[in-house]
Amino acid sequence: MDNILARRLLDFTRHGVAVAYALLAFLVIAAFVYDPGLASWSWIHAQLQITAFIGIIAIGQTMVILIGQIDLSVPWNLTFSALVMATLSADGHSIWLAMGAALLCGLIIGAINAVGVAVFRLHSLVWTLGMNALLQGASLVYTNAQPPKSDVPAVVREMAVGNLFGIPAAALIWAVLAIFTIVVLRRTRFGRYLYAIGNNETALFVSGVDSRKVVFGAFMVSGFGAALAGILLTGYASQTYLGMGNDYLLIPIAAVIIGGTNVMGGSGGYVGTIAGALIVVILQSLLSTAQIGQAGKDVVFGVIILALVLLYAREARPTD
Amino acid sequence: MGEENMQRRDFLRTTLAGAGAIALSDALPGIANAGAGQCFTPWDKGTETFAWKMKKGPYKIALSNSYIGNMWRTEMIQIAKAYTEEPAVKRDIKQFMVSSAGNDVSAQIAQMNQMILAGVDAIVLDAASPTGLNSVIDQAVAAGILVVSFDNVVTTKKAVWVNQNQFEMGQKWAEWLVRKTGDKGNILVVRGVAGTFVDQERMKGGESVFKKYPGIKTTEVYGKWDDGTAQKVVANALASGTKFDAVWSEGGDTGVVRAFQQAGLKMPPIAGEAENGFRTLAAKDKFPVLSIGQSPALGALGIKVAVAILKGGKLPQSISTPLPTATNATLKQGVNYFPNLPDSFFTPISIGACGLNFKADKILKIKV
Repeated sequence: MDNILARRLLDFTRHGVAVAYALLAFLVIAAFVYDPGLASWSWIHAQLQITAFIGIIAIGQTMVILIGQIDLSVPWNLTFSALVMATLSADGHSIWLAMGAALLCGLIIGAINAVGVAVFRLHSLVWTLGMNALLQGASLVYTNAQPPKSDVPAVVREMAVGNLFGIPAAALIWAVLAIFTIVVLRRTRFGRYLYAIGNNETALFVSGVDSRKVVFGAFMVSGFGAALAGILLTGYASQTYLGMGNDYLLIPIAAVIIGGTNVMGGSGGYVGTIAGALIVVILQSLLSTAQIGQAGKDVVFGVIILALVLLYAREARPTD
Repeated sequence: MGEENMQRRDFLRTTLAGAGAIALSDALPGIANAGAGQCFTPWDKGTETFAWKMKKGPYKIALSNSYIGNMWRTEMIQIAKAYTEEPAVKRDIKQFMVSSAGNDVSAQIAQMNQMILAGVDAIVLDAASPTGLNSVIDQAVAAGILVVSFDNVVTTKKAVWVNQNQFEMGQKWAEWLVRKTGDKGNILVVRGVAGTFVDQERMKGGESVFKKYPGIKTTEVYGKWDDGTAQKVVANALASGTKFDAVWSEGGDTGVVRAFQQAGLKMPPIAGEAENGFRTLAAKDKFPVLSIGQSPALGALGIKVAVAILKGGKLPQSISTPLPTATNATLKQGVNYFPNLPDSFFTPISIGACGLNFKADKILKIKV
């Protein structure tokens, strides 16, 4: 009897997505018990607002991790694209053109990342890290270290901090993209190929699929997400500035891993990442106001990530 | 031989000191000498005089910077370049080079090794680590190269330290807030990057005041000196429902104010750094403000100190520079805040007491 229960519990913990949502529910309840003042719409509103930025970056990061790669160029892709938008808008171009250029910029950066991985067959860990450094330098040269001073256009402000029916507009944008992502991953050929590459790229290639195109798709989605997040963060902070993307490298990756996507690729999905993104944001939020000092916060955050990775990793052991 | 050397040195000292005095009075007649006197203030009573062998100019000077991805650092480099181009300064400098290694200790060590090999006379240093560079500084000193560290200073006394007193900064912020809140109330404390010397010193200064008043309660968050991060953590603190009567903030203050505004709250008295966006908002919305900033002209001051010591000046090993301060009463458009410049611009670009005066529009045109 006990044995069966224990086994079921163990089976459950292998299911990353279920664990992530259970943890999310636990975290929210714990937060409300710990401080009943948090059980308010304004607190939830603040969490959704911030999760939107991370969730949008995590879309591309989920796809890239599914094919067994990683995108480390997000921080300066985000900053560079936002700078492109702000410069064009400060020069008097329409905001739609400026935003379009920023998103195009993100897509191109994603494509260059894919060239390194799919064509030159270099690991993305090295290639995208180099890209990140290159974009930092490019941002300095492009602006001569002086971000353009312009009033952030109302459209961008509204997208980032506006509300629709009391819900943050950024969260609604995220929700639409999230549904789209889930459908793409589950119902399209591109989605299936992403998993296939993560599991066995050679097999996919041998069966006649040009896996390079799939790699391009994943990295370009990631580049696009970084640029979009850059636009939204410009609206949120009412400015573009050097280093604005620094916080957005590891947190979205943590969201993907906490959400149960295998860091080696091949399994997982965006449904889990949504829970993962909410978990990291709520956890950071609780820890940021908890008076336990920064060291304590870092330790708690690290322990949770390690525990989850250990829990999920048992599945991946070849001896099992 | 020793005697001969001695005589030559004395001879050089007299001539060079004379030349230096002429150079200074050329630049700023009258006030330069008095300014220089206040400028090189010893850190405290225990500060010793730095001993260094005089050298004949003009000098080869290298600026070794670590992180470059924020505006304080880029301004610091632009100001340093502007300073070395000033006619009175240029005649003492044969060559000036700058390079940035990133927040990577080993990269900065490699960079400093290059500078040693290039045979510079002095290295002016914004360090990636307070202790990690000590061994390469030993090598530089052994090779007869003067090392002046500023901003993120190093721990070794073989280098000269030039910095603002971070403890005093935190203390002044706190004293002002305590007066504003009438010795009691909830104070939101927005700290910088945990584990850094600057964050610790500023907080110690703040706490030294707060602990004297039992009616003061503090809530700490970490904004990492970054507008976006500070805005996020302050928004969180506000969403948890606590009412704050004042804010003590080490940086990212533009974001702090925006978080209050976005939550629809009236901005309480805030003591913080000297970002342009922060001061511009304070001038526009007229909330009570005390703004004390770390000056990006510290790099230029480091060069000035290096040249003065190479010329044989007897300066303190650890130099404390004045704190550039602004309040509602002293905020003045175009002087200490600039609505037409980016929010992330750091306003205290001049250190008047040291004869370092720069114009914002001029320095921003200089290539980083």
